[in-house]
Amino acid sequence: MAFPTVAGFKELVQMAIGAASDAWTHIAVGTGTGQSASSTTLAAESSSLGMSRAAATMSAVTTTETNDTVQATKTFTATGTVTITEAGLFNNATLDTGDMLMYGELSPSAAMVNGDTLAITLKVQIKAAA
Amino acid sequence: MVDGTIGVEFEVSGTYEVFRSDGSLKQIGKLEELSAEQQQAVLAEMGIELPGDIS
Repeated sequence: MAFPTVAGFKELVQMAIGAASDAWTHIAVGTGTGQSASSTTLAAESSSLGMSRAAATMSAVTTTETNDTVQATKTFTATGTVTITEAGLFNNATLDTGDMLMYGELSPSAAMVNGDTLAITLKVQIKAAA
Repeated sequence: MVDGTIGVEFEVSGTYEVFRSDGSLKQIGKLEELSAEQQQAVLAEMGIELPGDIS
């Protein structure tokens, strides 16, 4: 499943009124599943084997209208065997903290061994509802 | 959406590739899309009831 989160919406409101300025800058990956829209963390965020939360390359890209989409990209390099099943976009560098803008489960899971790299891209398009 | 208002939609997606240490492509994938049932559950959790829902 992939979806935006309630925490992300609330943080966007805080940013809109100038009460927050912590942009979404970090991708976290993990080995759990089953989070919901009210979740604020991954189910089991990775913190070892090269899969720790890390700063992403952030940009505004075009899906429908110019620059209507938040894009985050990051390449992780595994230092051991691990199967990555979930990912999220956060506004904090620290494990299990910050506001999660979006959550998704990988399909299929990414089976990594030592030396493999995982290049992941997350996108959130904001647009008028049909 | 309530008449006379314009809603905002967040469309979430993701893709990934796994490469071996020699640079060869090992696997590609994406973030799993929601089934209709899962989509309804997420929206319900956000306090949004889809038009036509009978509960």
